[in-house]
Amino acid sequence: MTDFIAIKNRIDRICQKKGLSEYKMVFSESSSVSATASARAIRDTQTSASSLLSFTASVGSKGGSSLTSTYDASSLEHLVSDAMDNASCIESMSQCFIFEGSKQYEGLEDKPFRLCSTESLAAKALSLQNQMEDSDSRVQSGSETVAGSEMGRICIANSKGLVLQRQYGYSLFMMNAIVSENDESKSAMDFGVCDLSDMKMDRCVSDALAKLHGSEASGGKCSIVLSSYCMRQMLSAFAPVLFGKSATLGLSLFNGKEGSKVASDLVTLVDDPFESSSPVRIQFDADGVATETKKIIDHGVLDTLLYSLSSASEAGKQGTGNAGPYLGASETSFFSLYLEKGSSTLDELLLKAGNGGIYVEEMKGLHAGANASTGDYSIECAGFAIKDGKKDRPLKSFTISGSFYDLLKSIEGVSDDLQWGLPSGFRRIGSPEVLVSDVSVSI
Amino acid sequence: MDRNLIREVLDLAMSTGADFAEVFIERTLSKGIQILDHRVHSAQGADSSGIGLRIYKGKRTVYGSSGDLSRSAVLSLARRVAGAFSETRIASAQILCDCIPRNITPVRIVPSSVPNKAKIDVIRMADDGARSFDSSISQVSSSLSDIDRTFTVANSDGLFTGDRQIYTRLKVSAIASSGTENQTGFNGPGRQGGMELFPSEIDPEQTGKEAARQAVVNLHASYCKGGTYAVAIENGFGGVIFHESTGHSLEATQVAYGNSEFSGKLGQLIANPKLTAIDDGTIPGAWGSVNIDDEGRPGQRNVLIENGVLKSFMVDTFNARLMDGCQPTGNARRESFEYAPTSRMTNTFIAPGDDEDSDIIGSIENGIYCRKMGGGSVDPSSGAFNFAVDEGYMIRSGKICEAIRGATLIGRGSEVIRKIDMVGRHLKLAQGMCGSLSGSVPVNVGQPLIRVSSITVGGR
Repeated sequence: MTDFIAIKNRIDRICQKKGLSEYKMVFSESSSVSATASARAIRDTQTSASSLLSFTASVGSKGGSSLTSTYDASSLEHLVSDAMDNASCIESMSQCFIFEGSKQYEGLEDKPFRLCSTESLAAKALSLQNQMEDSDSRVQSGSETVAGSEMGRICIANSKGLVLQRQYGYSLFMMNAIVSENDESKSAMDFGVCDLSDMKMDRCVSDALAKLHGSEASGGKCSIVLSSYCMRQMLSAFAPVLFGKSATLGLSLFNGKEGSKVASDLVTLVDDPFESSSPVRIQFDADGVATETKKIIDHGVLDTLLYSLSSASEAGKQGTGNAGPYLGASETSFFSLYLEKGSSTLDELLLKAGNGGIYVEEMKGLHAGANASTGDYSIECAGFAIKDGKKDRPLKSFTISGSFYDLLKSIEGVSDDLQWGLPSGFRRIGSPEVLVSDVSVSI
Repeated sequence: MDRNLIREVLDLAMSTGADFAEVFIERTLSKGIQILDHRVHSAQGADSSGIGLRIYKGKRTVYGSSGDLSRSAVLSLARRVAGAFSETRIASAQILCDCIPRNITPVRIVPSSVPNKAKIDVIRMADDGARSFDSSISQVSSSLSDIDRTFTVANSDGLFTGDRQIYTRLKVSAIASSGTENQTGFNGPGRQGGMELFPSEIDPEQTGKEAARQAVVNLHASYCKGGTYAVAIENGFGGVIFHESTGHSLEATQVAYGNSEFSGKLGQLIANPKLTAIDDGTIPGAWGSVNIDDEGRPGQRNVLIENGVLKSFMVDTFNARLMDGCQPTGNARRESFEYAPTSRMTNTFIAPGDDEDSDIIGSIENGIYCRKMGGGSVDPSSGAFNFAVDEGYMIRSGKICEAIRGATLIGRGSEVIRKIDMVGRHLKLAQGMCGSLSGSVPVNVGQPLIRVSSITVGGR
C-alpha cells in the first residue's frame, strides 16, 4: 500500500517552498482481479493495481487542479506548479474551499478485506458459466460470466490539517446470457455484489428466452411499468438535475423549486452515504465535509438539491456534503441515491397498468437519448405487453419519449422491491419498479 | 523503461507456459480548460503512466496492469500474470528489434508547450461565437482538451516499437431558453494535431455559432411524432448510423465468439449493393487514425463492405487466433494501459455514392431529414441499435419543412443496411468517443447524405 502520509508531507514541503498556503489533495488507490468464462472455459483473467493523486491549489480562492500517478520529487513538483498555474487562470465566481473539518463524522468501521484469488474467481466463473450453458441448448457461445474482486481506499488531506481516509472492498459477478433461436438473439443479465459463495445464477437464461419472438408494441400513449433497472437508468441519466450547481447555471428546471411539489406523492428520493447494504459507504465528501443522509424529494416535494461547499456558496445555501467525485475538479455527486420503496407488489402495479400497458424491462442508449439539460428523453426499450395483470407477450424494440420532470409527476405506483445496481466508485443507484401513466410509445 | 528490463518482464511472464507475451508502457499528459457562464470555470492537468502486460496461452489471455513502473513492481506484475498458468515454459522472449513507424500526423505546436492563456483565447472565441448567435442563448459551456499520449509496445516475437499521439478537441454546448424550457446544441470538432489547428482547420467562432444554431433550431421545433418513416441522414456525424448499426458488429471482439449477427457471413451480400463501407486508420491527421495500433501494428485501410458484400472484419491479434483465416487488421486499441486492447474502429465511413443530394431529398414523400445525429448504442448479439436525432426536419413532398425534436431512430443492423438505398457524393467525417470493452477511444464516423427507405422513429 502506498504511504499517503509520506506523499502528503513531501507536498507540504513543496507548497511551503512555493509560498502556497491553501491547498487540498485526494489520493485514490485500487486493485482488482477478475476472471471471465465463456464456452465452458476460462477466457481471460485480469489483475490491476493503480493509484492517482489529485492536487488542488487555491490561489485567491480560485482552485486549479492537476493529477499524477507518479510520486517522485519532480512529478510532485510539477503537480503543484501545474495546479497553481491552472488556478491562476480561473475567473469563475466559484470559490475553492479549504475545509478545516466537520465536528463529527459517522463512525464507519474500515473492515479488512482481501481480494479473492484468481484461482477461486476462475473456478466460480467457470462453474456458473457451465451451469448457464447446461440450462438450455439455446444459450450461445458468446454468453459469459465474470467474477471479480476489488478493493481500494480514498484519502484526503489539506493545508488546514485535515486528514481523512476510507477503505472499501467487495466481490461481484455478472452473467450475460445470450440465447438464439431461428436467427433471433436476445440477452439478459444476472449480477450482484456478494461473497464468492453467494454468487448464483438466477434468471438470466429464462429472462433472455422470454424475450424471443417478440411482436410489435402498440403505439400511442399508455401506462408503463418501469423495471428497477430502467428506473435506475433514468435516475442516473437525470441525476444532474438534482445538483445545485446545475440549477444555478439554469440547467435544471428544479431551480428555485425547493419547497415546491415537483413529483407524485409516491416519490421520495433519498441520498444515503451510509445505506446499510452498500459496499461503498463513506463518511466524508470530496471537500472533507461530513456526509449525511437526506431526502431530496419527500413525498413529491423538493426538499433540497445537492451541494458542495462551492455550489452552496454560489446559491446562498448550506452545503449538503455532496462534493465529488473525489478525483479532479470538485463538483457535485451523490452516494447511494435511491427511490424509496412503496407498498405495492409488482403484480399490483401490472394490474393497475391495465391491458394495453407495457412492462419496460430494458433501456438502451440513454447517454444520447436522455438530455439532462432539457429533461427530455427518447429511448429505445424492450419489454412485455401487459395482459390481465401479468407480463404477457414480448415486444420488439420500441421507444418511450417524454420529459423526466413529467415522468416524476406521473408516477402512480411504486413497488415494495428496492433493487440496487452495481457501485461505480462511491456511487450507486437503487429503485423499485414504478408505474407511470400516459407515456408516449412509438414503434 | 529499460529495454533489458522489458525483455526480462516478457520472459518472466512466459515462464509458466504462455506462448506469447506483450508489454505496453504508456505515459499520457492531458489538459482540459472550460469556460462556463462567461468565465474560465475549471482548468485541470493530468500526468498518468503505467504498464499493461498480456500473455496468451492458446485461446486464453491473462492481463495485468500497474501504475508503478519501478523494477520491483513490474517484475512482481510479471510474476502475478504468469501465475495464472502453472505449466513448463514452452517459449522465450526474442531479442527486441526496433521498428520505427511512419508518422502520418506531424504536429507543429505541441499543446503541452502552450501556456493556458493561448488556449483560453481559443475557447473564448468559441464561447463568444455561441453567445453572439442569438439572444435566446442562455448558457454556454466551451472547453478545449488536449491529450499527449506516448507509448511503447514490445512483445515476445521481438517487436519493439512505439508512437506519440496528440489529440486536440474544442467542444461547445449551447443552451437556448424560452424562459420555460431549454434546448441544447453541441459541436465538437477535433483532430490529431496541436494548436496549429486553430483557426485554419478548426474555426473557434464558427464552432460556437454552429452549436448555438442547433440549440435555437431545437427551441423552435415541435416534438416529432413517432412512427415509421423514410429518412435522409446528413453527412458527417450521420455516419453514427453505420458505426452503431453495423460497425460494432464487425469488430472481432463480437465476431470471434459468434456473438455478432454478421459472424460467418464473409463473402455474402449483407447490405444494399449501394453500400460500400470502409475503416481507414491511415487518414493523415484524422481523429481516429493510428500510425500503429496499440499492439504495434501499422494502421490499415480495410474495406469492410463492398457493394453490399461483406469483405472484412476488424481484427486484433488475440481474436485472430479464434477466427480461422483472419489476420490482424491494425485495429487493436485501448483507452490506456489499464485495458487490454481489442478490435475497435478507427475512421469508419460509408463511401461516396453517385446520388445527388437533391434527388435523395426529392425522393421522400413523407419522411425525416436528420441534419445532425447524436450518439447511440448497439447490442451486437441482436443487432438492435438506437441513436438520437439532435437536429431534424420533416420532409414533405420532397421538400425539407419544419424542424422537429425528440426523435430517436431504432432498428436492427442487418435490416437497416439493406434499406440504405441512396448514397450521396459528399463524404464528411465527424469526431466522437467510442466506448467498448477496451475503454473509450477517439473515432471518426462519416458518410455522405444517405436515404434509409424506412426506419422506426421514436417520438411523442
